[in-house]
Amino acid sequence: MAGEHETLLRQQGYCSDCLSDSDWSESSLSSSCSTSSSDHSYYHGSSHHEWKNEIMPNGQVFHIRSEKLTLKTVAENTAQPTTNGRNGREKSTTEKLVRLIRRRNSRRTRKKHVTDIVADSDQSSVPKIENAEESKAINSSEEVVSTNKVNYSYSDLPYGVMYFHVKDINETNCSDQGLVYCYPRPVNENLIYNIKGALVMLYQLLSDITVSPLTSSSVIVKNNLCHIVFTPQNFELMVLFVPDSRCSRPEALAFTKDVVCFLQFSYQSLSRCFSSPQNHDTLDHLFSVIFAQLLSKSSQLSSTGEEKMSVLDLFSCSFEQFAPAAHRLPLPRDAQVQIDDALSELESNDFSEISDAHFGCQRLYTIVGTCLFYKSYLLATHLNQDDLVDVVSFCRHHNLLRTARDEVIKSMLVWREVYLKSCDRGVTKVSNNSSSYKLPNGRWFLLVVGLGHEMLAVLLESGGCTVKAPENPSPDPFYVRQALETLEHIIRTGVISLVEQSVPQQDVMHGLASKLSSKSADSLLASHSNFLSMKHSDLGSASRISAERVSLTASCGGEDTSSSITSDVGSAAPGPVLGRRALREKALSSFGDSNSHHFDSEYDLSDSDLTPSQTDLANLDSSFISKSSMNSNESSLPFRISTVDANHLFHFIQLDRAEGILLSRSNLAGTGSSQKLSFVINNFTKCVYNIQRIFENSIKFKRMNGLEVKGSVMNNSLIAIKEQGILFEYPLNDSDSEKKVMLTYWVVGRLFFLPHPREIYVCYEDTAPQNMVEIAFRIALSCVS
Amino acid sequence: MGLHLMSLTASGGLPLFSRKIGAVESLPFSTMASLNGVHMFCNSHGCELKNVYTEDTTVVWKTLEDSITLIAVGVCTQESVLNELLDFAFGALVMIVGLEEIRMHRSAERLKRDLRISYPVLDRLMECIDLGNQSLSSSDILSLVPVVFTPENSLLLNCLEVWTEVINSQFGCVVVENSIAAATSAWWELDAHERKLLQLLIMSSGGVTATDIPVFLPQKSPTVPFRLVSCMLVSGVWVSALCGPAPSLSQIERLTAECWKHVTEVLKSVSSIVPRNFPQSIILQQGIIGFLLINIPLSKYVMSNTVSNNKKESRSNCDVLRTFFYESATSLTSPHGEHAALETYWCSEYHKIYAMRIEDEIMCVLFSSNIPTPTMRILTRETHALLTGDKHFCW
Repeated sequence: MAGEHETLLRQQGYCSDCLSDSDWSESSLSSSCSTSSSDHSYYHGSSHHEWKNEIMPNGQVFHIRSEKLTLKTVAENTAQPTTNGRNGREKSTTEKLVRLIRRRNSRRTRKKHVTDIVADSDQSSVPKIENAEESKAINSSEEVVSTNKVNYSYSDLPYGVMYFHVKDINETNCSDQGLVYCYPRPVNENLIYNIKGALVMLYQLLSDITVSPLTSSSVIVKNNLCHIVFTPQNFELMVLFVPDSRCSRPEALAFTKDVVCFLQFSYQSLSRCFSSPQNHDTLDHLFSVIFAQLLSKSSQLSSTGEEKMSVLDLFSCSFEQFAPAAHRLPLPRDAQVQIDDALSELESNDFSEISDAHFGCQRLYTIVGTCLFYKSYLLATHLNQDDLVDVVSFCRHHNLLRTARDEVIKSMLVWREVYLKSCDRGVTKVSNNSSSYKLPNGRWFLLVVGLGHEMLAVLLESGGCTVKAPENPSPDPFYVRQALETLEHIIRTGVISLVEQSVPQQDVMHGLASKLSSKSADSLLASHSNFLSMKHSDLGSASRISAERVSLTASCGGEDTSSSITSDVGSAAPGPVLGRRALREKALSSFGDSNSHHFDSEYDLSDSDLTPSQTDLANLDSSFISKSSMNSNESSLPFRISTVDANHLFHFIQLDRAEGILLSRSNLAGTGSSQKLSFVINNFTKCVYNIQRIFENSIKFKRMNGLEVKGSVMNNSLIAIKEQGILFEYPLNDSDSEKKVMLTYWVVGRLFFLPHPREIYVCYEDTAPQNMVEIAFRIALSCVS
Repeated sequence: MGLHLMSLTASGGLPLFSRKIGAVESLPFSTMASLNGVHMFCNSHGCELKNVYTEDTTVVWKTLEDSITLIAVGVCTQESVLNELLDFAFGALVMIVGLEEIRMHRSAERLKRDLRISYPVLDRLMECIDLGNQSLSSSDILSLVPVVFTPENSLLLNCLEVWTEVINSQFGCVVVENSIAAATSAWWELDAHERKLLQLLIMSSGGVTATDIPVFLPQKSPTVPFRLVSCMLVSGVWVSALCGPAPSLSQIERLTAECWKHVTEVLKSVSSIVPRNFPQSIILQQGIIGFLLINIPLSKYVMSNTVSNNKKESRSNCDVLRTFFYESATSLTSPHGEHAALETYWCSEYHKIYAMRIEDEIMCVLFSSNIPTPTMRILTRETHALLTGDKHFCW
């Protein structure tokens, strides 16, 4: 299962040119080395030997060691080094290691290899991977190679980032004045560097014309339409530009927002991020990775090569990729409770009994919150919504999510100081008057540990009751160990293996596949018999919604006991809680209370025309039973409408900005029809942005009070739109027959206002009966709550 | 909630005109000059500046024929619509002064003076933009010509054909309250831009009984002018034709009176149909409070408000239809890529609206909000059949 070669995926720019281990006391080292053994062999190996050498002078650690899964072959086979900077670099790292291992010509176990490489760093005959100078050289040479590749293959495309001061720039002076940072460098590779003055001018000019802030602009450079996105910060301006061929305007806006979020999380403010020259190398690297992904991703999508299409996942669906939300995987209630328990225990920070060393000592950090990822999906979060979005953005841009998905992590430790949005990035003195609990003014640190496919992110706070953190604190081994043990505990509970089943591995798009085949008539006929099957539906939580649903649950209660148990768990009322958790939960408390009536009357299933007939119900029951008996896991997102082989549901997205949570089909990988599907999904994404633009008016209007409405600029016809649908027709070219089969499908977006705005976008085949579509909407909503 | 349209010479940046509608402050000259300057600066550095967005404002630039630069600044408008506006505005300028004059104007001052005649048409064009408030007078659509659906259409067409023959023209039309009631086949063969601009020009000549304006046709005849002759038949009803040097206006007025006098009563009844715009004899389903029927090849539309003849309410319904067209239904007119949009709908708290492409036509129906969403599809198809099924009404 695991590949032969091992990848040392160290983030360049964080190169370990300093081997400061002064912070490490032997006692803490030895205590943490004796970590409890686990069932899985590859969960070993998080000893501090591996990452203590990677602590940088500022205390940051980026240590990732993983094995590539051989399962994921498609991307490797098809990705061309010239078009994919990241893959190219990875490959070269991998090749170096493989070469290294071959040269050593020893057949030891995989684990030994790694430790040997570390240990034999003074052996002159082999390249010294762990030697500081050598590794720096390798890193930097790879960096040069990768950036060169990027620049070479995309040199015609306008892309890049600039940051400048707006205040003291004037046209008579030298053109470089005011420019703080520019990527790519040198500036002659930057296609819009020349019109830098015009951009500043536009910024000033538009502020004369309107009070609303400048967002974007489009220019044509070398026959390429290019979107320039502006992010003004006081008297400074960040511009990020991308070619239209890779990124549409709304995508570019979302992408920029994501990048800005990430930079602010890591550097407090854009000004601090770009102004400090020592950050520039790091930024260069970050942007080269970010742009290489962006540019190569879309070129793969737009190309017509069949095999390139066969891996289509959330990383290539731009909406999911740029949405300010974490892609969540809903779990069965008891699994959720177990994970939450484990995380809560870690968060309680009650370590004095565990370690004598900590007895009676003032604690080093308080834990702000934690969140758990599995293969890039969010399983549980105890974070503030804003912080969650930031953490996800951080993990995404540092490729941690992708690593956790595609590779088996042997050991991962990321540590750095961060700036929480929930605490106003630490800029102002935070005081929340509405609550008796005051947020302390402190510093925050992000700790990410990983094992296997799991990742645990912990936000630590130094301030208030804790020991004051030193200038550049390196990760405290004790906290790392606690986090790791929590992660191992969660793995040991078996929850993860349950999750494993609910991540659809090969979710073939039956609908398209069968339409492509000559049997399409059968499946079409069958699809008209009005019934619905939710292959993976959360029966328990859905039961409280409507009478129809209750009867459904009852009918299959005998088949599955777990669903009936789970329904009551959520109602257990927690005791009074103060502090961050209280704040976080207060924001969402209305959500739980209004569960039973959070549907607009519009979508009420009580309408007689939407109630399934008796025969339909009978069909439903049988289909539920058959499907549920096949699958032990009852609680993940629905991804089918209808019981027949043909699936009418192509894709769905639920975006809840207030919670920072996104739900969608987890995996779109398919077989032969996936190329067609990817075109449908591409069009779907385009539509979603359009529908979202319409919905923004409604959301904005709802938030306004009477006075604001008077002074606002809004289209009166757009203020209350809550649903939009578009029907598309797409020719399916059937190679077997001359006959042209048309695929007609709906893209429907719905906006729910209560308790806070949630957007749902669905893409389904036109033949799906309307009442089933209504039920699908209903279940999709109930699943999450 | 407003719109600026301005023009400057491309070479010197001299201002030619600046128009605005809606509740916006007029832009000072320095701002105009800067807007033009930014565009010129980018051009000279190998970048063509297309547009700029703020959260609510959009600015677009366009240089045409290397001689004039048009700039539109719109609040709450889409970039694509503003771009279209600039094309139409340029067409309007060509229509008034001719392409030659615009290409090689010797004196900017003189061009500026000549272009003044185009202001009424430009203002009408700007009224076609959906600015999202109902204070403006029209709910016209930029790229489409409004028509009315009258039972007397064929009678009017017969009279029109007689009249155009008498005055020796091929291109003639009858305009009722700013909408076309009948037009000769040659008129429909004109370029869609030209038809729209001519209709706006006829609309903008209020307050007189007959006009005679030299016009260049931007596509068909950009350098040699025609005469656009319009005569008022009864209040609110005009008959217009494109003709050559003869006959003179006074002759035409005399001939007009002869041709049309026996249908005066009919003309009066026709003008009373506005704003319903379709005959009382057609009864639509309950719950339908307005519709918009578009013919794509001829780029014409009928917009109707069926509930009441209360002007204010009727306009708000028409505004919803227009907004829906600009925001959503335009996707039905031009299929982009392989994915052809066939149908689309909105549900709002106050109304629902459904659009369906049926061959070359788009049927948009506005419903009250209590109609079930799935029913709209059926009703829309039925409404289309009802409106277009009757061969008696030529459309």
